[in-house]
Amino acid sequence: MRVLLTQPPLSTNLEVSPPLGLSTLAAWLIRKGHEVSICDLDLAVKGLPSPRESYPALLEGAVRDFAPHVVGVTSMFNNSLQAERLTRLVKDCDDSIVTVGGGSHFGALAARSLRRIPTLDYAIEGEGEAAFASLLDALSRGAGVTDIPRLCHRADGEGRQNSSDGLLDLAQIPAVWPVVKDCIDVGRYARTIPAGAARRTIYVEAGRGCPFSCSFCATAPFWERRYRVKPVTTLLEEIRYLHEEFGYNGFMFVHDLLTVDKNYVEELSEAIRESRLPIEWMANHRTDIDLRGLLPKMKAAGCWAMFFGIESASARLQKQMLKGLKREGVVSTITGLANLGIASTCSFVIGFPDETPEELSATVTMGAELKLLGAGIVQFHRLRTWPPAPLSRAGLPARFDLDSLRIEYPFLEVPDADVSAIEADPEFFAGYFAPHTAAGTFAQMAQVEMFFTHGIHLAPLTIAVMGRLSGGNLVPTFYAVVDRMGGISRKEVEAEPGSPWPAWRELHPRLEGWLALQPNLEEWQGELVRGAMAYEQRRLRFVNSQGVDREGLAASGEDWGAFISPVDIAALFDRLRTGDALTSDLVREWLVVFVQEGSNSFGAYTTGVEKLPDLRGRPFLVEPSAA
Amino acid sequence: MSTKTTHAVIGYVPDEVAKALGSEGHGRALEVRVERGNDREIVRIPAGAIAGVLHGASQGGETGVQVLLKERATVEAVTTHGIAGDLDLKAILDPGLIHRKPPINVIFVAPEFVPRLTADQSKIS
Repeated sequence: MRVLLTQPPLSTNLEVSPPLGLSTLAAWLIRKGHEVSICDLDLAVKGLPSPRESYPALLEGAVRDFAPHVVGVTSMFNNSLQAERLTRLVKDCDDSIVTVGGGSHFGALAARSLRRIPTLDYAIEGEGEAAFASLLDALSRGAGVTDIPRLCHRADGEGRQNSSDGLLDLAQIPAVWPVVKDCIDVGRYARTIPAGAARRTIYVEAGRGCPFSCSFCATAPFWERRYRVKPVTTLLEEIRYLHEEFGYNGFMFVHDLLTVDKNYVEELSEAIRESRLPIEWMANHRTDIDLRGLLPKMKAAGCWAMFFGIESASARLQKQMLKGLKREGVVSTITGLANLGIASTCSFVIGFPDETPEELSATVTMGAELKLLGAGIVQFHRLRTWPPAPLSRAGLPARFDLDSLRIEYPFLEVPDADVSAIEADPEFFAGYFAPHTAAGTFAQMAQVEMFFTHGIHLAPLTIAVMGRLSGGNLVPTFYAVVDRMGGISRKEVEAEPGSPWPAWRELHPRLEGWLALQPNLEEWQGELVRGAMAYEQRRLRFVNSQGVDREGLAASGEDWGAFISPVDIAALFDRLRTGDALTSDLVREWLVVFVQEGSNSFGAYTTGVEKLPDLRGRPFLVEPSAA
Repeated sequence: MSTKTTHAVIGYVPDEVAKALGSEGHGRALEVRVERGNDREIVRIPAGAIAGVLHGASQGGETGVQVLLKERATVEAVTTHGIAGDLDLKAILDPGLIHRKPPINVIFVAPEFVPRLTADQSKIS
């Protein structure tokens, strides 16, 4: 049969990776003898003046050109309204086309999707490959569908959910990318990567399933908590193909928790190293899985980063959410990775129902401290109860969360009609009905998410100092700033992709505002915050300027710039890293010198202010030594 | 996975050095760059300290290597480019700017398996 697989617009990012679930499904169906095409509207709308208005016509064109018998629509949670519209559009084009829904949202709420969307003929619950192929087989033979595992269909006007008959052995899935080369133009995705990007990255599936039972997680139950991996040879074949054909050299291994099986990770690392392919990769990991001894092998095989869900600094919440991570383990793992030159992304979930502002303050401070210990990216996400997460069935009092919707919507603007449609169906759009939390209002939680994710990226030292000095009051005092000055907006922060300045312009006045609203800080404590902020602003300017930006510097040369800091910045970093107390002796004038040490590498140094005359007149500070 | 461990230096060497290395070193001290494309920090390994060499990918004229060390071997960490020495400059360990890496790592390979592990490295293309 002719099958058109489509996904609606997904994000505002200009760099796009091929849709993994659709591509894997396409490979499976092609191997079963079907003719498949992928219409990725997320890619197709990039660069168009009005993505929100453009995507329906693009699908219409694809349906007209390909004349499919079946259209499969995938839905993440943030673009399900658009996915729903696509099914209507397909039926408007040709009512005889069969529509099938799957993916994170339709696949988690298959029966509910059929009830809500009359133009959706079938939905597949959970893993889609086998069920989709069986459905095509039944449709082509004119056979019934009541015995197709996982399929949700209509009978007597009602949605009927067929039971599952287990999960695929992932060894049966072929190496995806060579198989789908005629139905998706991977080169077009590769061309969305900016010239000069540090690496050319793409998502590839390494496997599925995590055996842990975190209460907020929808992915682990979606894959039925069964850890499965693709054979190393298959994964390596995909990597080789994507590298050799399209120049990809950064591979994000998609797996809920790849490092559960250390032997697999070791085998994979050995295979990549032996392949001599000049590639790098990252994967999901947990801080309580001990990879010491294996990490150097992973590093030698190109592992550049690991992703962690840290979730919270609170031991009470760790226990409550069934995550169970301990702070010492988190700190030692992130530090160990940084020492090996492996970056880490640390993700936190904020806004658990009985989370207190004090606990949230500790979590934000921990995020900043992890950044100082070498974490690459620290991000905060508002707790949402996406089905089938255990918390989605807990009956928590929840409310429509427009602020969260605005942060994740596939378009920068959320039209009123879309807001109304989503707000009107709390059962289907459960993910946008966030639980109430003692940590703050909905708007405040959205501000914490945005402000501190960007803030820790640009000014971790400042935020770590603020957290240390204000303790459990960090978040309440931040709310006072938002009350006084208003919150930051996604539109402003994302105004110039790739540039730190729009975010800094939003953050900096509010950091100053925070300081102004702290009557209880002692004078030296205020100096510490001001000193940290000044240092980080200088660092931003030095690193992001073409040549040395000399404005406001005490002295400068061709590869360096110096300013007088009111704070001993080197000692401040050390104290925050070691956990030692911040004391008034940190407030003393030091000269801070930024040096460009390579084309894209920078260093920062301190020395006594009395060295300023010695510095002046030197064009360069980097000098080769007799090694 | 074996619980016995071997020490190793992980880093990068110029392609031509990698080709000459083979699986047991090239009989001379080996200088391994800690970061790809950056010779600011290197680890100098005496010839007699090398138990075996595993070769990784080549990129931009450099080959990734894992240099497995003999027991109780010592190596030398060297900074090849200095910042003016007379200014008493002290590095600020700001992770936003620099990454300090230890020169030696521990890997889970029992020493007696090193020759077998590196056996296929004798035919470096």
